[in-house]
Amino acid sequence: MHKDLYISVEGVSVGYDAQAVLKDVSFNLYSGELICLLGANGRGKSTLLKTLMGILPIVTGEIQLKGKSLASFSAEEKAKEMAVVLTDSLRDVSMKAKDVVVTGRYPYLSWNARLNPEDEIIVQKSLTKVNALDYANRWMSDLSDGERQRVVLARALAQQTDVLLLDEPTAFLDLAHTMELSVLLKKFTREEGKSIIMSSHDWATAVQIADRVFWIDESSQFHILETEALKNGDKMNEMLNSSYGKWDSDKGRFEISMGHE
Amino acid sequence: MNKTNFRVLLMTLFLVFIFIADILVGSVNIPLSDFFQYIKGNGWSHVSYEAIVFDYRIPKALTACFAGSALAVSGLLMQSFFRNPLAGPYVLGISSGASFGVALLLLLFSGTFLFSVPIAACLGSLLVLVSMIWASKRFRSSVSLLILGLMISYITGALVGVLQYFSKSEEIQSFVLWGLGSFAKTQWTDLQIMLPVLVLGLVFAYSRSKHLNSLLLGTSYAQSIGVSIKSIRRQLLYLVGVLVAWVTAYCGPIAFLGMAVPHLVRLWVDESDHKITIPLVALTGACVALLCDVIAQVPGFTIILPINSITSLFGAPFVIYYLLKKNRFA
Repeated sequence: MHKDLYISVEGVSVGYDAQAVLKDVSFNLYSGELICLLGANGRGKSTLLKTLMGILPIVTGEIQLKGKSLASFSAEEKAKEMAVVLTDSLRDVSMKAKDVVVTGRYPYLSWNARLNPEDEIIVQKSLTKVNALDYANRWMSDLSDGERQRVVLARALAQQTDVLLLDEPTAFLDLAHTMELSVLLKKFTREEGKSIIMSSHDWATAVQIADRVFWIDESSQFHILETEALKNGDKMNEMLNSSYGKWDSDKGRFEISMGHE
Repeated sequence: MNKTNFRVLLMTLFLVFIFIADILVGSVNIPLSDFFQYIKGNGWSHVSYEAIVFDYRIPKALTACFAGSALAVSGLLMQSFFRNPLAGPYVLGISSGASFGVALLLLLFSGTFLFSVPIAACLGSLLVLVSMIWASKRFRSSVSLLILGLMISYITGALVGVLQYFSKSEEIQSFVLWGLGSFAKTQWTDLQIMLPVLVLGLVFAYSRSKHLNSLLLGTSYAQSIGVSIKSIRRQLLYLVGVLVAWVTAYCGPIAFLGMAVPHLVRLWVDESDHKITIPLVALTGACVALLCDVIAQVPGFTIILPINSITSLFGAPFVIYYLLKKNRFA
């Protein structure tokens, strides 16, 4: 299958106020790829995603989006190529679910934000894809965490971008919803050729759905791993580096060491 | 006709009704029958009515309308920008900033010249707004921000107190009267300056609806859909600063209207889109300001109460009621 190069990252450092949290990141992201970004808290996963989206400035290095420097895109042009799901909870947002999804169309609308019939259809379709049509007219504060997360994903889909950057999209979800989301994301990459980078702490799921894994280690080094290589337990245990548990490659899950003192 | 349009129509009818009531009620009560006679072209039953209505009551009612709209829309803008239901020009100290500017002018320089009061009020309110926005980037918690607003109010209040202590009694009286708030101090010549600025400000606020909707999601999401946070923050800063200062300069600090009206609208309109809420908040703000003015005239008595007492007496309990009733905001 032919693959387009969507994002290329070359020797990039990311951080806040010119202070690099994560250094020397290089990778290529192709169409139809689902990538899981793993690493302990505070290693710069969110910072990397926000930098890719252009919410944070690049500290050093070069990011190209479809062959052009990211810096040459206006904020609205960027928003037509990449959409985000952030960890910011939208629980207290005084908006209805549908209005949240409508904001996904904003990069395409003029100052008065008038929706064309075409935009309306896209909003409906986005809500349908994530199964959120039933509560489109409810307030965000009245939804459950799982429902809210679907709405937030629908918002990103409404932006009709080739790239989706998702920051811990499964963080507030229960097991069933996590599996549902995994299936959905995989479908988007396979059927629509979208490419997705999602940060996560859920290694067991990552091993099952990711095409490749980006791993930020203890010393904030950035690694690219083939998912197959992870299924071998040694690599997983090296990454986990914890005496509280071990990866069981037969069962495909972590076994907690109960005997630990 | 959908529900929202019907409500706009209802509100507009109420605005017309309360506007007429505000013209007729006061220390001199003009009978409603006189008003209808005048509309038919039969003139007033009393010679003085013409002057009372055209030189005094209509300018006052127009001032109340536009001041109410401007304050209410400012409150909505701030609530959306800070994502906090307690934000408002009075609570965040912007009104007291304007008061401080005017106090400096009236008490320290003891004189006014053309536009000096509005300019002093603008500078005072912008000073507070700039510090609030500076602080909003550093304080994650909106509670800290509200406390800061309160503290700024105390500081400016204390400075005003010091100024008053060293001022002559006539100067103090003019400042205290200004501080009680009134829609009645504007004449047609003032309105020529006041109204265009407020109308332009309201139109500009409406034109920012899309960005304001984006900001409801928080700054990161807003940025991700193409909003320049720096530029919208600056635009809203100046817009709210000018609107509040302009109203405060002509009417004195009007408490609670800016904070309470957006909540009033949220109670009866199930919408969050600023394209709908900005016009409705403006309309409701005008109605509430006129209603407060009618109440301040204490129909049937010859006394007139300060407008600020009325807005606080009704505004504060209403905000408490809203917070108890709705837990949409945590």
